[in-house]
Formats: sequence, structure tokens, C-alpha cells
Amino acid sequence: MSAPEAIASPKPLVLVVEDEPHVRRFLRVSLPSHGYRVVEAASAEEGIRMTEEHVPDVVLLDLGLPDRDGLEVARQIRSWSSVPIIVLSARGQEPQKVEALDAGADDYLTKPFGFNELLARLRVALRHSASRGSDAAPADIFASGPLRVDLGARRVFAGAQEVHLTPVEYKLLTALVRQAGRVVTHRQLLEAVWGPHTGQRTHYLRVYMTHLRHKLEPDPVRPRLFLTEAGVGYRLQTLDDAFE
Amino acid sequence: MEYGWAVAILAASTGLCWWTRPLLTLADQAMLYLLGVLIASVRLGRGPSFFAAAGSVAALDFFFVPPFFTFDVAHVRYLVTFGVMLAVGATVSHLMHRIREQAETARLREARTATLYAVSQQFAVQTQVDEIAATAIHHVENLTGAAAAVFVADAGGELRRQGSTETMQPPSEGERAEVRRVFERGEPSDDGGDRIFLPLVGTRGALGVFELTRRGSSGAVIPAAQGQLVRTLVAQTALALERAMLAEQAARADITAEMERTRSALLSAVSHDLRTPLAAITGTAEALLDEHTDLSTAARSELLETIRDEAARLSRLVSNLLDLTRLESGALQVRKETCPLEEIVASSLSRLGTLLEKRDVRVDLPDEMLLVAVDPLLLEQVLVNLLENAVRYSPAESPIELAAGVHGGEVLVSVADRGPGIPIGEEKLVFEKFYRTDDGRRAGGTGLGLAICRAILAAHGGRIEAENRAEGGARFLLTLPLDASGADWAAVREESEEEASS
Repeated sequence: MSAPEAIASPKPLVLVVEDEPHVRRFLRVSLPSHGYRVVEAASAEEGIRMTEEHVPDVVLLDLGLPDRDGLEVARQIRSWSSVPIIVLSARGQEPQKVEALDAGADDYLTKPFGFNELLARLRVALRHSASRGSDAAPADIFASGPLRVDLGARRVFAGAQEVHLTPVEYKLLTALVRQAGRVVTHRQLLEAVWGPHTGQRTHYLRVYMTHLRHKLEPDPVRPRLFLTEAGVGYRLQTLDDAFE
Repeated sequence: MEYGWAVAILAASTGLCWWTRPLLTLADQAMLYLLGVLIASVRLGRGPSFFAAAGSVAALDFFFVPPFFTFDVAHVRYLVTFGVMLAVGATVSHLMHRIREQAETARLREARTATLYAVSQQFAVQTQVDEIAATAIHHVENLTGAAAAVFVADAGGELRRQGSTETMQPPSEGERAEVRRVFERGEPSDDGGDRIFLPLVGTRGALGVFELTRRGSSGAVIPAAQGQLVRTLVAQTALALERAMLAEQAARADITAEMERTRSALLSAVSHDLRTPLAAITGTAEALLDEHTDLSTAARSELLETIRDEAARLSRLVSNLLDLTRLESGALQVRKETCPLEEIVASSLSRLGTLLEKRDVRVDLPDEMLLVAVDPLLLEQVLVNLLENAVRYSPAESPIELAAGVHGGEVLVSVADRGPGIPIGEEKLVFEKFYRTDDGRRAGGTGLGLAICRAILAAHGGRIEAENRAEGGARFLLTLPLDASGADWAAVREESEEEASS
């Protein structure tokens, strides 16, 4: 246990809950040089205990833990803490990822994941928890690459051009902006835009997302902003990591 | 009865001669009687026809040789006439009889041959043991009137009754014991009157036993006349059974061999294709760890990139293998949803990431949104596999073209390159598991990508085809059913706007 620090901004603490020693090693070795402190847990039980004890700033949770279902762990941690949880899972496990996300996890990484991807996810997670925790007023303007959204005036710009969005399109966009940089599941988006009990209307989402891409992306077929997370949901990329 | 006919013929001959007496000489009358004898021999048995011959002589003597109405002869020359006539009559009668006998024998032989032929024909098309047994029983029953049963030895040497006449009871202990004995000895036996057991012997030993049970209360189980035929039938049955059993064995061996082939092809592909990138990774890592190697930062980076790229390749290979295994075992669930094709194209392109970075990928999609009912992850995999192939098999500067359109209620998607194309005549072969061209082998493909594509398309009720382009290179065409439910986007849009505002 580290001594409480009175310094203004201590390095963020990442708790790695992963049974595979090599993955833990790779994280333990590479994250510190990017400004993170790392603690490790090798099982679900240990992970939950260490979350209580160390109060990390971010938890990296492997869904394939030997002793307990990762989904349960996420749920349990979420029940008493708002710490960002990023789940690690293999390809082909999309339904499990979605379950974890709907149960309270904030984002996911598919193994094998790239290091840059990991760093991006960590940044996004920390930024969201910081803004939630702070007393500052919510940001008025969102910008990412050519996209500018003036939330106060309800105006959207792609580059210099203002773009007209239908009410539904705007609602969808703002749902993504609120979670900018993080994945939002189909269900979460449907609920945000169309209300509860619309979980089955995924095709609405898909079609509207296609419309958004056409209106706001320079090359709709090679989107840089509105990424499709196949089988899981969508992610609005924060290209400049800027939130004014 | 027949003698009565003989007498009638004699009476007719006599009557005829009497009425034509003024016109005919003795010679003529003798001829008429001989004609009667001929007719009698054609129709009647040996005895009656000989009786007709002798009777003809007596009648001729009595009625037409002086002194009339006596058996005396006036002259010795009449004795010669009688002698010759009797000889001729007897000979004709005898010969006729022989002819009839031979005709009967020939007929029987022909019937026997016809039966054997019919049975052979039936056996020729039958491949199942129970069919063959039924045919044999049917014919033997017809021939002998006995009830028949066929016992066949299975793989474990157990004798099971494979067929029997409908009215037969299940075999008794004693019966089973006798069947076993006959089977082991390979010798026929009978239990003293009611039953006969004939072994069914093939080219490699006994196969079973043919049992015949007399139905009546007396007589031979197998009538003597049918003896040879029945034994021939039993022998044929044995051969047919042997053929059927060997065919079954061969089929099983074929399946086993096929499974073995697939398994070893998979193992060898996996072994080679996993080891190659692993070798690169191991070698590169060791080089980097080696303190004596003097590397510039740039060289270091390059080696590390190798590790990263080879690991990515390994990752794709493992994905392919897992997908293939899942598809083959039926474990893969196809979860169809209405998707805009564009979205799937976008996610495939982004999944390939750096691989496509340096390539000129041209996407041509229609302006109106194409909705397809597909499992988005699976279709994405198809496009990823096709694009990966295009990158691998075409020169770095050549363009890769992806296009889509609607045609006759179906959505057509094509991925085309300007590489060497597909060897002529192998356009269908490319979709087989582990199929690789020589270029492919060199380029490090597994031969699984297209097989997976085909399986996924099939699971969606679509198709995939390969062709060579006129301008050079290969084109892969996917056909997917157009999603009718989403086609009316206007209605969907209205509905969704309503729901959103409520």
C-alpha cells in the first residue's frame, strides 16, 4: 500500500487483473514510462480485494479469469465504485463484452491488443472519470478532428461547413459525444435515442450511423470519427483528445 | 385314361379306313394307322402309344387283311407288313417320347437358368445384406415350398438372423446351436427330416447359414428336381452377401481415410504456417536480445516491426483456423441483422488497418443505401479475407477494387485485384480447404480464407464465385439476398422518427 500523497496530480494508478503472467509483465514494464503506476492481481478475488485496498484510477479486467466470471467482477466493483473498468477479452467473445459493458464496464480491448490502443483507452477512461468527478460545468463544445459540436447552440460543423442533422441524428450524435472516445453499446444508444425497450431495433442504429457518417465524415467508407465496433456498438473517436 | 384315348384313335383310324375301303389299298390303310400312332405318340404316354402301335397292327389284320375279321393271315407277305408296321410304330412312339422328354428337360433347364438369371440380376443391384437375404428367401421358397431363413455373421462373429419367411418363429436354442455348428464346420446338415442347414461360404470362409424348414408333413425339404438349383442359389447368395459386406467395409475405410486425410492436411498446414511466423519472431527476438549484435535505432525498430507484423499474421491464422473449426462443427451461429453494406465495408477496411495503408483501395458503392440481412461479423470476415488475399497476391502499386450493386433482387459485391489471377480451370477449386497456388504457398497463405468465405456465404443463403478479369487479375463475386424488410427505408425512417419523439 502506498502512502497517501499530497502532490497535486499523482501518476494514475492502473490495477491489472489478469491471470496470464506475460500480459501482466508487458503492462507492468511498459505503462510506467507513459506516466502510470501499475499494481497487479492474478485472480478475480485478488482483483476485487485490491480494488478496495488500492483505490485505483483505472481497472484493466480480463474476462477470462479462472476463478470467477469477469462479468460478475465488473458488476460487483461497479456496485460500490465508479472506477473506470476496461475489460480485456478475446475475439469472438462479443456477446460477453457487450454484457460486461452493459453491466457497468466502460470500454474494452480485444486480445491481442496493440499498445497504442491501450494507451488511448486509458486516456479516455481517465478523462471521463476526471470530468465526472470535477465540479466544473460540463463542456460546451466538443471537437474531434474536423467535427465540431456546439452543444449549447445545438449546431454541428464538419470542417468549416455547418451540417443540418435531424432530431434523431442529433440525439444519436450527442449520445456518442457524452461518451466520446469510449465504446457505446447498441443497447445503450438505442435507449438514449429511442427510449427503453427498443433493444431489438439495431437496424435503426445502423442506418442512422450510416447517415451520420455520410454527413460528417470526409470519406464515409473510411471513417475516422465514427468507428463501428463490430458486434458491440460504436465509438466516436477523440482525434485531438481535446474537450474544451 | 390315356389308354382310352389310344383306343379312340384306333377306332378313328379303323373307321376312316373302313369308309374309304373302295379307294385305298392295304398300303394306304397301313399309312393311315401309322398316322394314328404318330398322333398317339405326340399326345400320350409311352405305354398307350405303344399300345396304339400294336393295336394298329391288330386292327389292320382283323379288318383289312384277308381273311377279314380274323387274326389269321392269308399270306406270309402280310406278316412282313405287320412286322414293319409294328417296328415303325414302336420306333415313332419311342422317338416321339424321347423328343418330348428332351423338350421337357430343356424347358426345365431354361426355367432354372431364368431363375438364376433373375436372382443374379437382383443381387447385382442390391447392396444391403437384408435385401439380399430377402431375395434369396423369396426364390428358394418359391422353388421348394419350404420356409427359409438366412443367418449372417456380424463383425463380432455373432450369427444373426437377417431374413426369414414371415410365418417363422424366432429361432430356438437348438436351432441356434445347429446353425452355429454348421457355420463353424462349413458342412450342410439336416436334423432328420424337417430342416436342412446349408452353409453360406464366400471366398474367404463361412459367412452364415441358410436354413430351410419343410412346411408340409412329408416329402423332402428340397424336392429332388430342385436340388441343384437350390444349392446354386445358396452359393450365389453367399457371393452376393460377401460382396455387400466387402462394399460396406470399403465405404467405412473410405470415410476413415478421408477423415485422416483432412486431419493430417490440417495438422501439416497448421504446423507449417504456425512455425514460420514463430520462427521469424523467435529469431528476431533473439537477435535483439543478443548483446553482441550492434544495432542502430532504426534497425532495432525494423526488427521490432517484424515481430509485430509476424505476430499479427499469426493472429489472423489462428482466427482463420478457429473460424473454420467452428463453421465445420456447426458451432457457429449466424445472427442475421439488417445492416447497411457500407458499414460492413468500413469495418473490414479498418480491421485490416496497416495492411491496406500503402495500397490503393478503391471503393465503389451505390448512392442509395444497400441493406443486407447478414451477420455483420461474419460478412466482415469474408471481406477481410478477400481483401487480405488481394493485398497478398497483387503487386504493391496495383489498385484493389471493391464494388457493390443490386441485380435482380440480389446484392452483388466484388473484390478485384490486378495480380496474376487464378490458374485457368481452378476457379472452383480455389474455394477448397487448404488449396493454394504456388504463389500462395510462397506468399504464406493457409489456403483456408476462401473456404471460410464459402462456408459463411452458404450459411447466409448466398454464393461466392471466382473469375479472371479480362484486364488481368482475379475478381471474387459475392451474392447476397437483398434484405426485403429494410428495403423500404422511408417507412423505417418514419417509424423511427416517431418512436424517438414519443
